[in-house]
Amino acid sequence: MNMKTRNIILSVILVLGMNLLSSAQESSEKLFQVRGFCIGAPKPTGVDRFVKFINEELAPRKVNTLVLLVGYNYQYKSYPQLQDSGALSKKDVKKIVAACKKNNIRIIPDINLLGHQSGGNKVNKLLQNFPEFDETPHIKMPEKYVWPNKDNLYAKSYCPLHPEVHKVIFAVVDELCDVFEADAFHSGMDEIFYLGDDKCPRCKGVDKAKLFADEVTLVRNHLKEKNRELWLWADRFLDGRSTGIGFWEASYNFTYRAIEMVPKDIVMCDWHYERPDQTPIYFAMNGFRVITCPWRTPSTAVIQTEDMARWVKYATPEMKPRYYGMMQTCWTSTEGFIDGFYGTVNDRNKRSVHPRNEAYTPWDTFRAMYKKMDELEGTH
Amino acid sequence: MKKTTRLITIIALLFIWQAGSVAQYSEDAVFPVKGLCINAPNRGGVDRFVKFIGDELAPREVNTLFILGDYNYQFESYPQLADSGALSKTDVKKIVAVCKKHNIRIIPQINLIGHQSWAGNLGNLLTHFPEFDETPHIEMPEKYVWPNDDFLYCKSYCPLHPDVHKVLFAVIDEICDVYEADAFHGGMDEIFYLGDDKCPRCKGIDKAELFAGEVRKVRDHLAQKNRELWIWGDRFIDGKTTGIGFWEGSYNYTWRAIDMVPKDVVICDWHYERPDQTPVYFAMKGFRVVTCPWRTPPAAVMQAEDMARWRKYATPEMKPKYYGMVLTTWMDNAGFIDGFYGNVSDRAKGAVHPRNAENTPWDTFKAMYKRIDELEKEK
Repeated sequence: MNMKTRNIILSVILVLGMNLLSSAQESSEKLFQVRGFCIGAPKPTGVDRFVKFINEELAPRKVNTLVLLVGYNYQYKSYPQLQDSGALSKKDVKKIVAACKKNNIRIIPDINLLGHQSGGNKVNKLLQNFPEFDETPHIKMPEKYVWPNKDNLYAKSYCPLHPEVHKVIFAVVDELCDVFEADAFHSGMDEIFYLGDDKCPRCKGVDKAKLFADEVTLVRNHLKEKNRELWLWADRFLDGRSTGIGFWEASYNFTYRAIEMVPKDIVMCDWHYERPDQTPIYFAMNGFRVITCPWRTPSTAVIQTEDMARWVKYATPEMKPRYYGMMQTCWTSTEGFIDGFYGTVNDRNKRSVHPRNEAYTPWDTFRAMYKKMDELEGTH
Repeated sequence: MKKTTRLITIIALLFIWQAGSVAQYSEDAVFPVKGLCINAPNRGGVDRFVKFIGDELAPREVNTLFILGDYNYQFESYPQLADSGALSKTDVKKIVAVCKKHNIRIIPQINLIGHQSWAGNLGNLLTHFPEFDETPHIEMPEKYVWPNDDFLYCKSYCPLHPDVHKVLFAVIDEICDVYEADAFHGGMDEIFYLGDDKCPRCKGIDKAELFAGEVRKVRDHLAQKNRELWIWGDRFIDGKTTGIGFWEGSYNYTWRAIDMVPKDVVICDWHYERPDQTPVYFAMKGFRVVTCPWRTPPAAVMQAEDMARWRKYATPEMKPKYYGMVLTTWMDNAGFIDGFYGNVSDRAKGAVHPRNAENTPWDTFKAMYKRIDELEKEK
């Protein structure tokens, strides 16, 4: 091998190595390590439009993290019965993967674990096919769903102590991570109201913080075997009662002590939509990387962005990397969000407009937050 | 008779209002607690301190004064514990009177557990009760230097010694009585000697539990007389994983004590160089918390802005936990007043920041209260 060839090979190795580093490891020199966007996965017919949106709107804003809420919207091979009708094919997914790869966007697919096993009056695919996993089989799904209701039924949960449940879940989690070529998985785990039910023969009497922490740890350990990270919503780790943060974005069911019981390498997605709560400091002080996740209130998202930048700026070297960044959430269909983003408010997105202020939408928040992030990065 | 009744009612109401106004802060204020923490003066400095309170604290609407007295009082319960030249009851009453006049709540302080020696000198408690020493095997050095092989910063008393609380509670009660205080500051900062392996009572006990146990004991004693406990916050912070370090955070495993002490203890969270966000942690854990700067004006200004912002955006449950600001001085009382009036005297110059002559406690005091005033007007 002559010197020239060797130099070329070395350069190629160096460039490849640098690329690898830059994709999975966000630089801790930046103000916002994570520039995130969280949205539902599209339907197969919406894939091309979503890919276009990634190229035209996410890439120029330097979004580097896409949490994609997939759930059972994929044609799983391990458990084909779990797929939604009209679910994404492998080919659909690979189009999204390619677009993200091109734009250096890390995809983190999400399946809701523990909670959110039903929506409205319908149980989801997991409990339809495996009714034995239901934490509260004695609570029947209503014909017409209303909230509030006497069962405090927001969404069904699976029983984390059912001996068969993880075989199924880990198969679909692995399959989803594989097809999305993901090095991290988002497990949802927000707004879990049904947990450790008094009538569940396995869970009754078990400390709910322990139940929750054990499920988080089990999933984390499973992912870790394939060098994947666990991300999840953080609400169950906050004491909703004493902080006044409430029972949605924080916990009323005694799960908050779980913060002391889970590995520190899980990433907390701390969502607060109306107030710029200072809770990310609490997560960072407890040793976790934390991402602030706004939704549809632009003014709040802007304050939250300023907060994150200030925390990073004045933190100790130990704390700095834990202030991980910002992630916009949508909570509308992919198509609906893109419609709204381009100025069309229609049936599929109008529910995500704030009921008290029509200027408050996820798409306006997305624009405002990224504008603020760029301003702050510019002055950094 | 009717007239007399009305007069009595008015007088009674006035008394209630007066009593209430000292201990209660306005929930709606931008900063409920506006404090200064300063050493008790020497006897010769009492009148000047009284004048300073009237001339400088009152116009800034300072409403809380930590008086770091330790054994600078002529205790009757244990006269041997009094410093030589300690304040008399008459001296103290002068300070009490001026504070009462300006609605300033006095919170007297005696260092508990730690700070039982300073440099090469043993404090009065361990001088007179050497049996309370947590680490009797560690001799006081002839010439004190830091760092040293014994990791001796200050001596501690043993919180499990069966006789220590009889003495402490007597002097605590006496100091609270003479200052007419409804709150007491227990210090408890920078405790490095705790649960020593050679202490026959403490060895093997979880240091968080030892620390929490002492906090609870003192808190419960004070609560019997409707008095509050205030303490420094550093032992509740994990200094290692947060990078906050072993002074203003704990390296000796005490930080889990935060989940073991009553929520009515008021946390005085001191950070002097960085505007650490630790008060949010204390507030979320359910405690009222005051941020305590020292001698870095820009940090103190940011800390005041942080406190105002936290209160502004907090839930109704969290807002009252963000309790306010207390400027600390860590120097001689007369030295602070010297510096305040532009005289960096021998007794003041030790408090000037070694790397920046503009960073002094008095400049920080002025800057912080100026910013507090602005933030109050912005409301």
